[in-house]
Amino acid sequence: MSGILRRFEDFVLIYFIVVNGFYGLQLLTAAAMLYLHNARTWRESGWRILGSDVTPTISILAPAYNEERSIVDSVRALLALHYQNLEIIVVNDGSSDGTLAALAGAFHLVAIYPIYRRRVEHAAVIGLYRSASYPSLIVADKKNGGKADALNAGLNLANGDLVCAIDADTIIERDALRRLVRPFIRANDVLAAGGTIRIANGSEIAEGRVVRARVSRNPLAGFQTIEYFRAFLFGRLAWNPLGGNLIISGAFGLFRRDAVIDAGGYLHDTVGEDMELVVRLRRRGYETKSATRVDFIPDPVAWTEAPETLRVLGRQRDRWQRGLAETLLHHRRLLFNPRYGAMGLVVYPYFVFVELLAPVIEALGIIAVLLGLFDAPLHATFAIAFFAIAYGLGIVFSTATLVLEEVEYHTYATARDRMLLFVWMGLESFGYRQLTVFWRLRGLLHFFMGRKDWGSMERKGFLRPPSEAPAESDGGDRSAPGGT
Amino acid sequence: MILELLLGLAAGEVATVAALVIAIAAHASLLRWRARRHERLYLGARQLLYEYISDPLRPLSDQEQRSLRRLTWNEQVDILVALARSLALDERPAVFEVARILGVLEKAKRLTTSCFWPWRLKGVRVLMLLSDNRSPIAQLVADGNAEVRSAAVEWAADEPTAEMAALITPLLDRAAPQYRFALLDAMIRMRGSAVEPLCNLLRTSTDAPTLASALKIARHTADPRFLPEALSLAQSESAEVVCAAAGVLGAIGGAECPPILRGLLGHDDEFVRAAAIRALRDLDDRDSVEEIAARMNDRSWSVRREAALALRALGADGAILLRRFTSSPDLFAAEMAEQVLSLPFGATP
Repeated sequence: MSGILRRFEDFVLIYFIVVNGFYGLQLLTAAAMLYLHNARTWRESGWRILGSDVTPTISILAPAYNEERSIVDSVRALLALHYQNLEIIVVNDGSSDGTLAALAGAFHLVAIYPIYRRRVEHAAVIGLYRSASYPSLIVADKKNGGKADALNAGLNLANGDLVCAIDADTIIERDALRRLVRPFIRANDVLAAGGTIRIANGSEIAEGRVVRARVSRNPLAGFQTIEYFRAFLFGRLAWNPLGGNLIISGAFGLFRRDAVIDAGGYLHDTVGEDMELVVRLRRRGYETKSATRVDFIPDPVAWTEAPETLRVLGRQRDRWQRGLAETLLHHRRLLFNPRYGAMGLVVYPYFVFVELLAPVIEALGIIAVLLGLFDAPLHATFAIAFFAIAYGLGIVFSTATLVLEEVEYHTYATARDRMLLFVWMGLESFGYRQLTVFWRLRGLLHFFMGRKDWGSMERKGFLRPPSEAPAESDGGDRSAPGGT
Repeated sequence: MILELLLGLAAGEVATVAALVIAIAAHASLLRWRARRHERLYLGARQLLYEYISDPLRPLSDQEQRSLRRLTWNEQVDILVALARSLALDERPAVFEVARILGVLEKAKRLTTSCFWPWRLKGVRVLMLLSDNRSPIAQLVADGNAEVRSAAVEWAADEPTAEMAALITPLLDRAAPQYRFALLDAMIRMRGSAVEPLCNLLRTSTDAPTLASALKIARHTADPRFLPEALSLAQSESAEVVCAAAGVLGAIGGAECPPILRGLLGHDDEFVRAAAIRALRDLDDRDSVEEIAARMNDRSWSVRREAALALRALGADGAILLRRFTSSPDLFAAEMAEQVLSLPFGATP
């Protein structure tokens, strides 16, 4: 027994060193990428992109389900985005409330009969409307089919060279599209690009925009703020030169429309449709020897609402883990397959052995060390020291990410916000991190049991006054930046 | 031994976190200090510059220069760029003169010769914004780094001379796909100046993507001087080139175009057929309705769509033919005709 334990502990130690070594490499790479990105964009002229005849056109696809109270503000915010040749397609996914009526009342919708080819499958579209006051706004009313289905309906209707998939209640910064389009005009081989998502909880929001970024006092929202910093600023940015990203957040991502349609659109039977699409697009690119690049751009920012209760957050993480497992299993041929270049040899294995299996190894590691305490009393000191290092390294990486954020963007300007960030960063490792391990393990268990549901999602709703906030909706959380 | 190592590592982590937290706090303090300094120096400097620009004939006094030199180079760039952008073209030379006196331009020129591309890029951008003597940028149009090259090409659009157009046109022929956008955008902005070099390229190049890019610029420029080349390239073996050439013919027009375009309606490639129909619609060539109507039975959806839209746009004859298709035994054609006829008047799909 003790021999097995010791060997397993050795394995955990090696795994720990390899994974954290890779994190260290990612951190250094992210810092270099951030420097180069800022050098590239220093004093760049935004009007050249906005005022050019050859700038790609963009269609925003905004699926909406039972968003009667927030949809008008959300769409107004989208209409105010700074980008020429912008088309906004709101897909009412069979809402049972007055979402469509709210849109019709606010934007003077009139029925239209556009010519479009049904190139990707989706549930039946009941009606198509265009706003009489904002001609760039199109509303599709369709039978309920889920987020992927709604996005597919939007894809068929879209006319833009690029499509931007968002959640209807994502707040996109006014010039974020102009920044996010940069990879597409810089190179011809880019399939998709993703931008940074930040947590809006606690921030001051007016007229569909974040007017003052604040760190939430709610511990769960605070912990997620730190997590998102790590995931986006250091996780995804570092993947750009290390083999490309496998995830583009469902809350804010830009895709080449033709590539998405040629790949068959979004899959219906997965809870991780955003990641699955990116993996499929890249895989197709390698197989057809065409474009394979998926870039992450750190400065376009979209804000999303993070869950503030354990129940909802647990369901979200459970779903993300199931989505990750489904996607990785579906594309298992990529593992260590040199045909898929760095994606098959580096990125995919990383997602399997770190993103997917880390909670299993972490949980087994905790159990093994605890068991070891009974085996040898000396183990207690060793165990404490090991855990201190393991969790301490997490804090080191989080602090380093905060340094990157502070030096490059300093989103949170006040001492109060910085103090709160330090507090949440320090506390994250004690309780919250173990909870996320538990939720991810539960997600894996549910994956093996074949669960496919999205679960319900409580939203306070930051695009409407607090007095109007609904108690609960069952639209499902549609922001999935993926777990890093 | 291992335990001691682990404890040492833990201590190292604590020290690292402490150092990083101190770095964040120090940076925050630095920002606060900068904000205060900004209020003290920056606003004063801006006022001083406003006064100077309103009377540019007087020299900048030593005291004024000293005040401006107290700003860092980046701050000087910030303030001068902000000012230059808000001034009329004829007032900008005064700002450029200040930039020269302060040595901002000298440093920018030095940066353009650096071996580190971010610095070269920085130099180019400053010279673009703050100098009317931009000869160092012209040399960077052929820079090895795509970022720098692109910035230099952006600047070229502001210098729409035949020499500049001749300098950047060969870049279309480069294999590197990076920054083709910057090049296309610059050449479209150059309008007439770019016509001759582009015509030369269209005559001499044999590379299909290069020709397609050049024809794309030609379509946006819509200059009649492109006509001979576009007519000739409409017979190219590359479908991509023929599509682009059809677009140019549709944009320019002329008696020679419709027969060529009608000939392309039977092309093997569906994109060429669709492009030819679109061009005939752009030319409002009502003599082609019969040939276009024949494409309503095309096997390609996009060709049928273009044909239906063209018939709808080509007057009464087209509309009558389109209406007839609603009872066509070809259900694909009938459906397309129905869809187009149900579009509201003037609406584009």
